[in-house]
Amino acid sequence: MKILKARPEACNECYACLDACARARFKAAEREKAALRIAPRDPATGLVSFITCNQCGECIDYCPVQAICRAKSGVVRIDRDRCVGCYSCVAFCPRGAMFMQDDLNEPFKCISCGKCVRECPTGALYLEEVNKN
Amino acid sequence: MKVIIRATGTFRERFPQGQDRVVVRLERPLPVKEILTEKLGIGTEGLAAVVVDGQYKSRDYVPADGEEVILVSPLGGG
Amino acid sequence: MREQAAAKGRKILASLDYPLRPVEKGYANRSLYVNLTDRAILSKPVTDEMKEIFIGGRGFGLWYLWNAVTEKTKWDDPENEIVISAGPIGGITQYPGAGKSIVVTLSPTTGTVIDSNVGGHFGPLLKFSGWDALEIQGQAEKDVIIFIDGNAGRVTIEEAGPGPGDSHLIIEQLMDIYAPTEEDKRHVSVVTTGTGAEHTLIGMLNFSFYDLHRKIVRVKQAGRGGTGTVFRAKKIRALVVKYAGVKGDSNGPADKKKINAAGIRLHREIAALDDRQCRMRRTGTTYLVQIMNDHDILPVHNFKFGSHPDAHRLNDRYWRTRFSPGKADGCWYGCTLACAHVAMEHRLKTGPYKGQVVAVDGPEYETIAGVGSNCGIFDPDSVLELNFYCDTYGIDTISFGNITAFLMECFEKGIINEKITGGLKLTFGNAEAALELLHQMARGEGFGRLAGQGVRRLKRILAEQYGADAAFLQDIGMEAKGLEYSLYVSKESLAQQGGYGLTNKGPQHDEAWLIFMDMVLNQIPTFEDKAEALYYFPMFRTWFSLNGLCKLPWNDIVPADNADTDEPAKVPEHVENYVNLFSGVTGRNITKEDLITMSEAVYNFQRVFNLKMGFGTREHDAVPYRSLGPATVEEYESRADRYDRQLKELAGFDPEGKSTEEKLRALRKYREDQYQRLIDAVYARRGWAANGVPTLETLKRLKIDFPDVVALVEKHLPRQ
Repeated sequence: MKILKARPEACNECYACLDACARARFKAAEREKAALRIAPRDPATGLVSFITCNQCGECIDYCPVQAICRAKSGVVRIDRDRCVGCYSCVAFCPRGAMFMQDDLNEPFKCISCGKCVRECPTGALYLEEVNKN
Repeated sequence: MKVIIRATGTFRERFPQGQDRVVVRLERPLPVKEILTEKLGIGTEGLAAVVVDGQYKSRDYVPADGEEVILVSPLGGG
Repeated sequence: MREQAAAKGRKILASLDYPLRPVEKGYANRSLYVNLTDRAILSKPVTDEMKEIFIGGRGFGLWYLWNAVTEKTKWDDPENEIVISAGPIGGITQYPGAGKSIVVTLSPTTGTVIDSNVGGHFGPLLKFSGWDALEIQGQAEKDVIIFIDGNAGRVTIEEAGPGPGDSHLIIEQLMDIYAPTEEDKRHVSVVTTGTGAEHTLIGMLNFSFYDLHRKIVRVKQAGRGGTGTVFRAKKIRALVVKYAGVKGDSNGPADKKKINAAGIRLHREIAALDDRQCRMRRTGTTYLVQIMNDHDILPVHNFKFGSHPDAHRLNDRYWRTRFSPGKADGCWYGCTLACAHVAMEHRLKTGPYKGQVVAVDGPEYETIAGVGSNCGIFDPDSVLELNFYCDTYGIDTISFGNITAFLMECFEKGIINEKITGGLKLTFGNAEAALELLHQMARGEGFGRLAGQGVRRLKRILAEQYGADAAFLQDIGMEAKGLEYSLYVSKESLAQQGGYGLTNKGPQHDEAWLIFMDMVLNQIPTFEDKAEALYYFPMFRTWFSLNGLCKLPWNDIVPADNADTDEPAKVPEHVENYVNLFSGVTGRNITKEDLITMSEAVYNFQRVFNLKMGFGTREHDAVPYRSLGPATVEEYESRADRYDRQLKELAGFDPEGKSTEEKLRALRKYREDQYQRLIDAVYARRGWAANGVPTLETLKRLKIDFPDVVALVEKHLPRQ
């Protein structure tokens, strides 16, 4: 399966990735609705850090209604119709890569679609093929 | 000087197997917090309260020679 | 629709079609009234005054019941009601512990009003189906099922027809009928009970929810006070609600942002800290067994003692190996404290289902201490077996544990013998005898039939029919107001003695659990301190039952810095969460002080309700002496150093050279006096007269000075 990875040293903080993601998922202009985050530069290293989903699937077992499952492609997806909006997955995600916004009932996450990768002008994001197991 | 530290509840698990009491020898008086972190290496995370001679004390309490300190783990109770 | 029912093989006795509409700000704004005698089904409006004063949940239950019964109504009269309501916050999915239903009825064992707080999905699904409360009155001729289809907008009373009598089989049968596909199952919740509820006075109600991960139906219990017995007296086989479509905003919150913020904050706290605190997610309330034993407050042998060398066999270390691991063990969506554990694959060794392999919900602390240590039973398999059968028979484990332990003590004292028990050797630790007693209770046969009457009636029966010493039985029979004690030894905590004795419904810890603050931490040393705690905590905890909330996420998980706050026992940050939840749902902006006043109105109303039913005055706040101190020489001598010291230091009595009987008497005099002084202090703090009746000023302040309330109270207030 493909997972989203980052090269923080290449990032110029233009946020084109966030805009692309929010647009693709929610047709929204708000960057908060992107399924990844860029944390501010660490003064020690001078680098930003990316919060991205590695499709580990830890969230699957925390969902009380089994609205989260691994698709055939290996990517972990939320079935929004099934989801009851409890946000258990948001709090228990080990990477903080499950997101929520107040005006949306359901949380959202990265599905490795690659839109952010295509929009990134500096190649700071890329999709990597990894073994499903 | 020596201080007796007694664990209750889940704190027991940080003590040697089957023991709920340890005697700590100290060169000088130390706050409970430091005894737990520096002398016993078990930390204070999850320590709700300290009881000495039936009285609630803060984690900064400095036990006297021979005193028994009871460590109370967090509990909501009934 | 009619065809569908016919396909289910059930005759429809009555039905109501109702318009569907969304829940607004936590309220459906109507209640469902069902009368089983004349088969009337009505929609009743929920008024603004009800919302303002009674809030919901227990408050609504008390209000409906108050209007339904007279001072002469008995629990098995048709006019008695069973009211089930979740409260305005009930059903939100973002904050842990928000799916509780509160059951209110007149209790068979206390004769007055009882409230019982229970998990499972019924309450929230009832509300999303369009009903804030379900109010059931009357009595059916033959067993019925009340079915609420929240998607179709239709309520039916259906003839139950032939079927099994015990909960696990009833639920299995009804799930097949009302949730024929796997996808349907999570949308259905069943309330039912079993044969034990029919043949005893300590029947409880099982509230179901579907466990998607394990693909089994799970149950939570409205345990206290005989709600299941009333249910069977009305000839209700089951209540079934079906509602598909629960979403994050189904409760129609006024400001979801506030709820989200509080929910995420607590979820994160649990994720980070539960492993280092109570480990509710892994072993639930079983962590209490070891702690209570360590502090000498785990009931052993009918509350004689507070610890036992074998207690470790029942502690959380064992249950960790026995519970099926699960990461989503909440009894309502979004409860990440997730204490609803299950022991899979228990092979039954006794009873009608002997040989079958079953899943056992729990056990929780109260059950372990009740049917386990208090009966001297330390074998976990026996505890599981007792738990399973109590659940499926619809019997309250707390009452069962107390009754059995009481009878075991009577047996060992020779007050009863094998001739009276019909061959049961009721000695402490005899699990086989305890199980047989339970099976007899369910069948309504033999000595079990007698035992099922509860401790209060047993005291009278044993004295009248078998010549037992009534005063002694009163001392050792652990009930007050007719309700059996929940499982904490209160002997060394005066505040907890009040926490049990000065309750509205009887000695259940959900009002006030002060034992640690008082006895272990010594944080409330004076009468005034204790009275303040017995004002604040019962009011604070009442609030959970008005809103459909669980107590556990309040203080079985605390913020990392809670110990450093001004009042750690109150868990200030979580109180702030509740204030935000309430205003986030209802749009009513409140403060943490309002939260107490809201509860106080309902709490005092319940006190007045007791008065209406012939209770509610000081003499009914009396407790058995064993809850205050050592009742026997054996108990005194088991902790002689402690009691000798107290006599000398506190009671001004020199124990030197005195016999145990003399010391026992001196200690008793001291402790009974202390309890009376505590009552004085608490009544004053609660705004009650010296006879325990709320004053008119108190009623006015709380806006519950309705004409009938005032008239009733005036009759009971002492003349100035």
